[in-house]
Amino acid sequence: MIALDDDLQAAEFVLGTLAGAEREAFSRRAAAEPEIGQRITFWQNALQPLADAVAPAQPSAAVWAGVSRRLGFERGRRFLGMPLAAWATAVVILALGALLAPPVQQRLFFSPDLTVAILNEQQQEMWTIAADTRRNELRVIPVRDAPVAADRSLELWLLRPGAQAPVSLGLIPLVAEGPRVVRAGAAIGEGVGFAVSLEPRGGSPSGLPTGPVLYVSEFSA
Amino acid sequence: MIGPLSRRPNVLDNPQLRDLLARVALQDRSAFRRLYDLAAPHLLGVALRILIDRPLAEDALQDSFVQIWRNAKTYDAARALPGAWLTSIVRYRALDLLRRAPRDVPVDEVPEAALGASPSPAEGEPRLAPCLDELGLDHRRFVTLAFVEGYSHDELSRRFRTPLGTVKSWIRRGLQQLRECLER
Repeated sequence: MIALDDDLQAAEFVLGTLAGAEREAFSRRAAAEPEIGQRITFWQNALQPLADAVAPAQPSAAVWAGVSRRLGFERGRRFLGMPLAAWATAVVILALGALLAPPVQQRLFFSPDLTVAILNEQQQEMWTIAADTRRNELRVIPVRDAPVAADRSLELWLLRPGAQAPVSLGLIPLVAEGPRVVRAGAAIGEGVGFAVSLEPRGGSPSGLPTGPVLYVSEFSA
Repeated sequence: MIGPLSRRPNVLDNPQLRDLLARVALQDRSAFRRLYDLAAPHLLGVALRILIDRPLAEDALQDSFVQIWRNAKTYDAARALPGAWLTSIVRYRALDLLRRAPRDVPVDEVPEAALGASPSPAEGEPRLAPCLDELGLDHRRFVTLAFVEGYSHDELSRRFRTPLGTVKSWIRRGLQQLRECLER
């Protein structure tokens, strides 16, 4: 249980009456102490009806224009944070894989023609995903263990191009569990990516990622 | 003036926001645009109550959406209401801008009757309104003004001609009572 004084500071942080150096110091503590972060969220949720009751106002078109300019949406199209040119390279790799693969519709054995690495923030490889795009089958190979609390699980998602919803590929294996073979319920082809999200133990209850996305794939040749 | 907690259907507790945020976390631009269309008017309303000045409020909104795109992957649907998460980003940004350019605060000669009106409960969040009702008038007024209009201790002290120390302790006591009620 959090100390009363810390909890009231969390409330004043949310209210906005905690200001200046005190606010900065508290915000640093919130980043380091999960319990304080949780109480800030509690107060944000609790006081939200006051904000819900405020009358809306239509923003001018300049606001969205500014957002999309600042995020680089206009400088060449990007998808999943990668310029389309880079995706085009990935597509060429996919196409080459398809050309070099044996010319049978359904191959008997798993033969990957696409490899994807999922990296952490330090650019270390956490998982390798080898995909057989003919069979829509993946082999998920854990390389490093990701830290995860006992009451949480890591779930793997297939990201499809455009506005299609991500598809769950189940929980992602840890090193001790070894590689896992997954049959994807959706076509694995050009423009796909992978993401790993933090979920309640056993996986997302809603069929869509509910927790923070911790890792997103990048294509590698 | 502070309006009562309204019963009109409001966008910021729309469950659709949760799904859109999940997709924005995956850097889905079309979902981001839909999130913007859905939430931006309410969020601008929130910023306007704090900043009053429209161009400044629009700046706060723009900064906030840049941050929403970048930070969506840290949004934890298991803990935070999506509307509360979005509102917090906008409020903190608006408060930052406000503290840099202090405003003139009106001085109340007589307490406004409307400030004492009991808020009616908002849909989907039944707990706050009755808990606010349990607070004394001054405590409720100060907490609400600080949250909705971004009043600092100092501004409250000037507006209500109340010593700074009294303002601080009323807010603190108000929050403490609110906490006891909310956790009951």
